[in-house]
Amino acid sequence: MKENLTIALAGNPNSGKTTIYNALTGARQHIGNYPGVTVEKKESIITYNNQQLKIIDLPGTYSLTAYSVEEVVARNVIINEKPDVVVDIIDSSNLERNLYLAVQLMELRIPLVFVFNMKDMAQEMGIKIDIKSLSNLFGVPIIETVGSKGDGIKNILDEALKAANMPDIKYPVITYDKVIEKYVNSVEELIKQHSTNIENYNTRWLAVKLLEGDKDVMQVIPSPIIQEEIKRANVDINEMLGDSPETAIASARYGFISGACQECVTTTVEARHNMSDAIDSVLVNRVLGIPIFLGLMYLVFHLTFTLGDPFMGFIEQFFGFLGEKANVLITHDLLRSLIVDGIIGGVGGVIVFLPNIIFLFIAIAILEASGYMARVAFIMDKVMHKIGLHGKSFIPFLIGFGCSVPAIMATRTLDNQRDRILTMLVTPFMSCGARLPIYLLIIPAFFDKNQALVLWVVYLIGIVIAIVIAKILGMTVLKGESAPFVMELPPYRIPTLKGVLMQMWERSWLYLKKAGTIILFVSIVMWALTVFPLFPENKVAEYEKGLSELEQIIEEKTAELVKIGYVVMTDENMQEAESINSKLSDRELAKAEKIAVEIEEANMQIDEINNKVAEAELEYSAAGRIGKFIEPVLAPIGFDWKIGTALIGAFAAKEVFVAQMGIVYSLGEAGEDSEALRDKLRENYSPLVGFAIMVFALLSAPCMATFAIVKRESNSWKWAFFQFFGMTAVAYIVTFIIYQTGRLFM
Amino acid sequence: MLGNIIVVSIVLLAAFISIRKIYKTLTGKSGCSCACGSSNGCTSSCCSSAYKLKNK
Repeated sequence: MKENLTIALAGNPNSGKTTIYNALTGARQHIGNYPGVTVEKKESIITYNNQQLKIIDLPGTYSLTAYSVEEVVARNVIINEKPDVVVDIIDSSNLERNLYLAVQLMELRIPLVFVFNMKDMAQEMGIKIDIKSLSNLFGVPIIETVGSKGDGIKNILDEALKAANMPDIKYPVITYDKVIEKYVNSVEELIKQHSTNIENYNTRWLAVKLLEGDKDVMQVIPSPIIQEEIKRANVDINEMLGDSPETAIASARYGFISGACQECVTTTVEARHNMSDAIDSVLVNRVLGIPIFLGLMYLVFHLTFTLGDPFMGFIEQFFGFLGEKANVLITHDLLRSLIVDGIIGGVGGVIVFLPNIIFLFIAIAILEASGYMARVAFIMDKVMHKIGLHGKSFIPFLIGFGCSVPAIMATRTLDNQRDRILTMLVTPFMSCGARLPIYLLIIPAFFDKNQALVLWVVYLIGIVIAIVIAKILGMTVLKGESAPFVMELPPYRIPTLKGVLMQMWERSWLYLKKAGTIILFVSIVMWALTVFPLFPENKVAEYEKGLSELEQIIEEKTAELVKIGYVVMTDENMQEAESINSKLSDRELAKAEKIAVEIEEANMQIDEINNKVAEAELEYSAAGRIGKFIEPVLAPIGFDWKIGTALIGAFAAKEVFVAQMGIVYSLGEAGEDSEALRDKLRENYSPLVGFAIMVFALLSAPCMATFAIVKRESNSWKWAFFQFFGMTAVAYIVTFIIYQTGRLFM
Repeated sequence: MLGNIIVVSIVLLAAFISIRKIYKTLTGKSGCSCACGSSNGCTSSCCSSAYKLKNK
């Protein structure tokens, strides 16, 4: 019997290796419910049955292909340190994926024990495993455990000791397609003839790895003769099977696993999987997948507008009522302006979009909970591969439709640093919930007839730009290959009401919380910047020259009308005015109408003067001066200084853009409190400028929270600043192209 | 006069809170802006619980 044995614990990420390691050794290593907790090997020495055992906890790996650092660490330990036995911890509830690593370990022809962990979860999912048959089939002892409860842990060491002392290995050899086997044999023969320093390796395993194109193994065996044979094999296998050797070998392994599972695993939820497969045949279809996704997006946006609008009306009325009351109750001019224009105009202008936000997030929650969003990542896999990423990177993109902060944190699931940084840099191009109020303000103002279509186009621009920029970055600053990954498709489920409402509530509460905190405070600051320094009284008097004369003219002319007995017609008094005026003679009527026109002209002149005063006051303010300073830079993309100041405020939170536009236009348009902000935007800007604003808000620098999280997750200010200035440059260029091209046609 | 004092006080307070919030967010000391709304910053547990990031 061997003494001082070494036992290595291997397994997929999140299969419970560290839990079992802690249970075996009494250590307290950190455990997490996400992959990547164990990125380095950990060792402990214990005494069991009077034998000293070294237990090594390896990082989690899905395979032994050495695509990520964790895989390389695990593989090097198994091959170079030659543990006496490898214990593969397998998540029983996710058997087929976990067995892929198990099969690769079998190919190494090393002593093995399989631990089918989380058997309780598998039972809950209706999975029944015939352990005895499966153990016979694999020729490997299998133990069932529940690591979190300590069930079955003791048996692991007993079986490991038995396996370590087993005289020979009886695992079945996975046989590949004829053409692959032909080359496995020829390469194996060449390895034996032309290689040295390979005593640690099984030669068949080396041959298979070389055919798979494993770069690390190629470095171990640099023989040009073997490389020539591999090249021939590649061409031959591609021609014969229509797939690369790597794909064909992986398919054969999965075929082996699938066959074993067919024999030994039954599931009571098979019907659900079958139904999922039937739905997938349509939703994940190669041709229909992307059009269905785009169609669903359009439908969601359509519902966002149509269902949200009536509720928006109630909120608008509520803030309108508050504004009127504040106007009456507060007599101090500045304080009234702060409350009405700064707080009610700013924060109210943001809260008014809450119903649309609620409906959008209900729709996204339903799509997520049903399992459809996982399919979207799958559908996009092909497109993502073309830009040097894979479908897994699309998951942060999807989370980014809610908020960029958790989306950037979700990049932790990506295996290599290059994929992570690349995904992190382009994720904020996905239109987050904070940008939605900007679209909800602008789209109905300028694109009333095609609301859902325009919103759909804006979101699509974000996705397309993200893909294009990722491609450019992947070819320049972040060169490299993406790590392959097996996409998982969870079965479809009917979303629960509670789950959907919970997610909707989380988003809505965040929105309200932001409106009541950062947006409120920044709105007050923006109001102050838009009002102070106050416009000097003497300058106001200069502008208002002639105002009193005009007011006197109106007074006199109105008195003349009263004398004649003429009633000026308005929307409210049409019938009454018509009946009264019809009693006048033709001469009186002509004279009265001439006076009415003169009054109207005088009123227009007063409005003009008031607007000039308001404009001058705004330009005199701090915000006006900052805006005017940056205006020459913004002019080529169609923005004036007012939009410029709103965009600066948007760094704190994107919604501040809407708040600032509300403040600027409630201050700027003197005496027109009742008019909605959208009407004012329509008066001041063209639909082209409206569209340019949306594109710029979508693509420009992310908010400060995103900036901070990129710095933290990339552990580098460099990438945070690169993203900040890079996105702003992209936004400027794209907006410039759209605006200048649009001007040629409009 | 009282009105002016109230306005100036509100503006200064808002400016102080805004700058503090921006500083804390940028230096990573606080200011989780994601749905969890955690006052402890954007920790993985905070955002994963809010967004069900099981990462599997």
